[in-house]
Formats: sequence, C-alpha cells, structure tokens
Amino acid sequence: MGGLSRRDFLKASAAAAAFAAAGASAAASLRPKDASASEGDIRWGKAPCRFCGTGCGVLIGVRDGRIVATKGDPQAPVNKGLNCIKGYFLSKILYGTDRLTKPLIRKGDTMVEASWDEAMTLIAGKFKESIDKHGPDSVAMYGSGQWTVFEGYAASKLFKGGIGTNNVEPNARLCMASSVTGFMSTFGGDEPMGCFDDLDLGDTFFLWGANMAECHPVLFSRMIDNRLRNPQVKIIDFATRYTRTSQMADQYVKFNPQTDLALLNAIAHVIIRDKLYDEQFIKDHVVFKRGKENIGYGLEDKFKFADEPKLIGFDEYKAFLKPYTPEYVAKLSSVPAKTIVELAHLYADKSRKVNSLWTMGFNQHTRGTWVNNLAYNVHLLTSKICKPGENPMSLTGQPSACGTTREVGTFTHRLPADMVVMNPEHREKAARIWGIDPKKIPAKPTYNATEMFRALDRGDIKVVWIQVTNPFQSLPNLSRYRKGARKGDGRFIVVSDIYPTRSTELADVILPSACWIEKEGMFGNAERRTQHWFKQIDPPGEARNDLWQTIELAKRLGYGSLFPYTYPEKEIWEEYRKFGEGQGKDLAPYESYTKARGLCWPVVNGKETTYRYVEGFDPYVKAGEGIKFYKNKADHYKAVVWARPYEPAPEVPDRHYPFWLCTGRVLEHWHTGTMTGRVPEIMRANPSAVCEMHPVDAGRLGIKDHQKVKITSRRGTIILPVNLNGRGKAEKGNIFVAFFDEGKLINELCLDAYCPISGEPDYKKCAVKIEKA
Amino acid sequence: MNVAVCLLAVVACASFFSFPVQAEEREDYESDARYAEGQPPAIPHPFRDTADGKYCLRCHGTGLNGAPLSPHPVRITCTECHVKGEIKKHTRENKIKTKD
Repeated sequence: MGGLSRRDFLKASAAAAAFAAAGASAAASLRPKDASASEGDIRWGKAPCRFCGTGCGVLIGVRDGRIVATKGDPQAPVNKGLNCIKGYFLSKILYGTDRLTKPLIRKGDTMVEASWDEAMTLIAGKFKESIDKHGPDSVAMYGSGQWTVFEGYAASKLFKGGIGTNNVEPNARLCMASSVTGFMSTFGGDEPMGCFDDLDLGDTFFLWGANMAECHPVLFSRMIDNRLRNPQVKIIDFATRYTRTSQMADQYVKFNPQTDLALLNAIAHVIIRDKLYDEQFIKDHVVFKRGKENIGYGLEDKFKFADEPKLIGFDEYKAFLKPYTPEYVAKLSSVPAKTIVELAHLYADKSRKVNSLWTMGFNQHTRGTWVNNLAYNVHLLTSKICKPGENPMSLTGQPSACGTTREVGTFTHRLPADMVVMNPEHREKAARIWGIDPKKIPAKPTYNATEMFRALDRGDIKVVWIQVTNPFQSLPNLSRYRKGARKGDGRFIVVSDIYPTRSTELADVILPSACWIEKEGMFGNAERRTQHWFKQIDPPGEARNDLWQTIELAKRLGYGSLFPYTYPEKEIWEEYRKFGEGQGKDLAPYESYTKARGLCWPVVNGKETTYRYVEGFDPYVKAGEGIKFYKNKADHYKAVVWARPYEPAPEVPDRHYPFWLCTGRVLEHWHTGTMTGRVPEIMRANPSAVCEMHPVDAGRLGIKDHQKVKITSRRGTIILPVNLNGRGKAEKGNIFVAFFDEGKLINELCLDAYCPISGEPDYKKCAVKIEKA
Repeated sequence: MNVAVCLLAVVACASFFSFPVQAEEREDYESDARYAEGQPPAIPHPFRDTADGKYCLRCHGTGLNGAPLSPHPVRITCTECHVKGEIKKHTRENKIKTKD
C-alpha cells in the first residue's frame, strides 16, 4: 500500500472538486425561469435517475402533485450536477398521453377495463390452476434491472420461498449476466472492486465494446474532464464500429467481431513474453485455471452446461498463451501486430494508472464470461487492480441491475448476497431469514431468460408475469417468442407497465404501474452505490406500485404471511440486509440511505467502501494484508487467471449472408424506448431506427444514403433507411441498428445464441444480407 | 443580476471545495436546486455533431453571429445534453472549416 491510500484519497477529493467546478460556471448560467422556479412553491426532493446503471443524482421539483422540473444534483458524487439528455427530460417521462391508468383484461381481441379486484382474482386463479395442474414450475416471474430492491426481493421471496419454484428471472440476464459470472469465476464475489472515482484518477483507459459517449454519457464526461486537466490521459477505444466514443478517443482500434478473445490473449502473451508482469503480485494473489472448451452456444432448447475448472500452473498458462502471437492474432483480428505489442506495453506501463471499461460488447457475447475473465487476466498479471485510479470496471445498463437483480439475486439460480439455490447451506440461511422450511426452496435452477421464453413457447411454462420490462421487443430471435406467447392452450401472460408496449399487446392482463418517484424505492448502481428515494407524487388513475401488486398476488395465493409488513419498503430492507451482514456485502440501516446521496457497500460501522479487497479502504482487509480477495475462499483468497481460448461465433457472415449485424443503443433513447419514446423533444431528435452502413459497402450495392434497404437474417426481415455518415459509422462488412424503435423490431433478426456459462445472449453478432428495398 | 450571479458562484465554489467524498450529506434540496443546472436549451438550428465541441463553440464560445455564450465552454460533448430541437432559424454556415 505504501502512502498510496492517503495521497490518492486527497487526489480523489481534488478531482471531484475539479469536476464539479466545470459545472460551477454553469451555476452562473441559471436562466431566470429556473431561478424563479427554484424559489417558488416547488417542493424539492432527491432520487437517482430512472435510466441507466450510472445512477446519477437528480433533484426533482414538484408542484401540485406534478413534476415541474428536474436538475442534476450538485451534491451527488456520481454526476456532481451533470445529467445527460435522458436525465434532463425525466420530468416528461411520466406524462405521456397514453399512460396506463386502469387494469385491462383481454376479451378476445380487445382489452377491457377492469377493477384491481377483478384483475387480481383472475391472475391468482390462473396461477392456482396452473400450479395445481402442472406444478409450481409452470408459473414464472420475469422481472427487471429496473425493479426497486423491494420489488425484486418480494418477487424472489414469493416464488422461491412461497410458490416453491426457481422460475424467477430478470431482463438483466440479457445485459449483465456475463459480468456476474466473470466476477464470480475470477474473484468469487460479484461486482467491481473499484468505483467511478477511477475515471477521475486514472490516466489510461481501455474501452472494450462500450460506446460510453452515448450509453454512459456522464461517466464519459468525467473521463473527458480528467483528460482536460491531465494531458497524460489516454483513451483507447477497442471497437467494431466507429462511434462518437471512438471520435473522442486518442486511439481507435478496430477489430473483427469475436476476436476480442484473441486480442486479450495476445496482450497477455506479450506481457508474459516481454516479462512485463508483476511476479510478486502473481505469487501472492493469483491462481491459474483452465475450464472446458468447445462449450457450445445454447442454441438448442434445454441446453445445459457446467464448467469443470482445473488448477494449472503458471507454466501451463504460458504454454496456453503460446499460439496467441501478435502476428497470429493480427491476422484474426485485423489489428496490426505492432499495435497489439504497443498496447500490451501500455497496459503494463508501471508509470501509468490503467483501467479497462466495458459494456455490452463483452457481456452480450457467446463467450461473455470468458472475455470478462480475459480482461481481468491482464489486470491481474500486471497488478493494475485494487488501486485508486486503476481497475477493471464493468459498466451497467440498468438502474438497479446491480442493486436488485445481482445483489437481491433475482436469477433462477441465485439468492441474496451472492448465494445460490444449489448450495444447501445457502438455502438453509435464506429459509431461516424468510421463516420457511428450507425444503421449500428447490435446489435446482430452472430456466435462464431465453430458456424461460422457450419454455413458454413449448408450453412447459403456462403463466408468466412480466414486470418493469418489455421482453417482446427485447428478446433475441424475437418472432419465435412473440408467436409462442399467443399460442393459447392455457398460456396466460400478465404485464405490468406504465405505457402500452410491444409486450402489453401480447398480454392477457395489463396492470398499470407506478413509476420512479410515484413510489418509494432503492436502486443500486454499477459502483456498488445504493440510493434511496421517497415517494414524491401519486401515480395517475388507479396505477399501483409493483411491490403492492406482487404482495397482493401472494396474499391471494395464501402466502400473505411471508409479507407481514406495515411499512413494506423499510421492513423488507431491514430483513434483506441480514443476508449480507458479515459477508462483505454489508448494507446500512434504512435511515442512512434516506439522507445520503447513496452509499457504496460494504457499509461497515456507517462507513462506505470505495475500493474493495484493499487495506485502508475495505474494512474486511486487515492491517498488513495489503490486498486480499477475501470472497474467494475456495482458492485461498486469491483471484483466478483463466486460460480461455478464442472460439468463433456461432453464426458468421458467408456468401449468402455476408454482413455482421450488431444492435445496441443510442444517446437519446433508453432500451426499448417505453419512456424516452414519450418525450416529444427526444422523439424529434431521434425518431426512428436506421441502418448504419459503410459507404463502400453501400456503393458496391448501389445504395444511396437514406435509401431504404431490406435486411434479412435466417430468422427475419426488416426494412430500414440507410445511414452512411451518421453519428455512428459501421465498418466495412458490418451494419448497426439500434433496438429502441418499437415500430422496427430488429431483434427478430438476432440469433438467440448465448454464453453457456452466463446464459446471456449475443445481440452483437449474427449474419445478414442487404438488398435494395 | 450580476450580483446574484456572483453570489451563486461564491456559494457554489464554497460548497465544491468542501465537497464531501465520503460523508453524510445535508438535506437542503431546495438550496441545492437553486444552484443546480436546469434543463439545457434545445438547439434551434441545423448543426454538425462533431463530438469535440469545435463546431458549436465557434459561435457559442465567442458570441459570433449573435449566438448565446456557453456558460461552460470546457464541456465539449455538447449534444450529450443539448438535444436537437425545432429548427427556428438557419445559422450562417461557418467560413472556417472545422476538422471532423
């Protein structure tokens, strides 16, 4: 540790102040309208932003029960007063004209208004009927990384502890699952060691498959601010598409899709070959492992996979890396060998503070777990980890993918605080806290998200309740699952949402939900920061909190005793935090969060932890221990460097389908556009999806800018206008289409292949052909 | 107006320099809101989204063509916050070429 911690702490404070100072001049810009608004009869409150996993703090002004203004919270450590476009329009997301305000029940082709009692009676009846006839595994809950902590907890407790099925999955399986399995297999515990301060403190940033400028704009701004202050800062963008991020990076490194696996191994190869690794760190903190290879792609229904890790030595690892020479990988990836060598040296440069940041390019990957492992390898070999300003960091897409789905554990195999249903001691502990018989929690996980909708298509699942998400726009190979949902034969679909979506149109019952500050909530962001907000306005019409909805079902199924709360949010929190106590997942009492602008766990004796596994910051690491990966008891508190090979994608461009299709997000819209699609200003700025294409490819096919093209994969067809020179620019042989547009379901073209370890689908790679439409 | 601006800046600076990284924060949301940025104005004219601020700051950094001055010229990712709005007028095309 040396003098690092104190100095870096001070530097962190200085950096924080500097970042804020950039916004300080903005304070002087207060337009008269805002100035008077802040003095009027407006009541101000705080909340984290409703959108992404950054978790920006927002101040919300309410007058006469309506949001009249939102502002970036200058006191919020995450964003220090700044918001992005989406955040600045938060005041409008709740007030779309088609807001759902009454329960609706399907009568043939129409949806008919109903009372809550009618709707809940029908839903409970369908659940009971299905459980009686087909068993508990015939009913399911499909939730969300936008669930509040309480909502996720109640759903998990009801299904796993009450109904007795592990049929609980979140949409976070589609975005963060590979990050979870990456953390679990490398460190034995989920979520990052570092925090967002690394963006202010680091000087070298490797971005992998992350268009931060559009998808995490506020974090990107922190990094760019850092570069303005410090000319040493270098941003290297590894990507398959030239984005706004690439444009602002110091170096853009384009590579062929899927070859990130080979590139990271080549970087490790050079680090070993040129003896750039930290021998002492490796000796003290690292073990080496190799797992199964040729592991498949999850394309078949009921696909199962279990890894068989074996310990290997450093020499075996070196031998494994031998074929990944810069020259070999240059051919595979199209990144010049010289660049690979240079960047490996940059990664290992002892005078630099090196960070890796990634998002869906890594996680939505048929080898998502592996590529997460490989990124950690490079940091572990060079000891660029667990230090302020140098860490690997997986950025999250949803506001509580971490806080709810990962920490509460609303995946089929998980329980709160990194526990799993397969482990009898874990089931025992959960049962004790829940006050139930441990036998109630089934020991076998059932379906990951994709498999859950495959089971619905086959008819193995009959009743599914979808909360706070839009799977019938967001699943891959979408046509199969949309058709499956309406096959009849006892299938019954409940969707809770705030607006009509492509999922509500397939529902048998639609329940109108409360959103964001229409209810009390807590979210956990990507840097382990748990944030709380109070209810500040009433939901419209008869819309109700999803937490209330789940507990109402519980009562009607006879599990009301699992939820004996008078102040459900607070009591659930106090119950839930028993899981993490003493496990390195400690959370503070409820009241602490109502005051603070979030706290990063573990929170021990009222103090949050910004850097984990490291002495001086993490109370779980004792004096003299330096760094300790204390969650990985099985490997004697060491982290794992994995020998994971390059394996090709399941579907690659060929003569018939010569282009790679990559899907993703844009700055203005969030995910399937349910909320941002209701903001007129945002819709004006970015109304519909386009097909980004390289001008050379377009020229070859005789396609002009803005002309319509027909894009076809083996699974579907879509017609879109081409964009040859937009904000994002496709590389030759690639196209990119955003998935927010509910009128253009690009996911119908996507392949539903997934990472066998994480179960997360790959939305970034499949083969398509392009014709003039 | 100027006095108010200065006062705001002083309040803002004072609180920034004592910015708590790891401490309990105060709960006066109203006073926080007073010096927080409001909604950034939309862009009422066609523009080139160069992602380095150069195109925008050519006018909004200098006041050229009567453009309102940016209060935060160090923020160069302009369209991260400023959304393309209704086009009310066409700006004169810059004589100076910006590098894309």
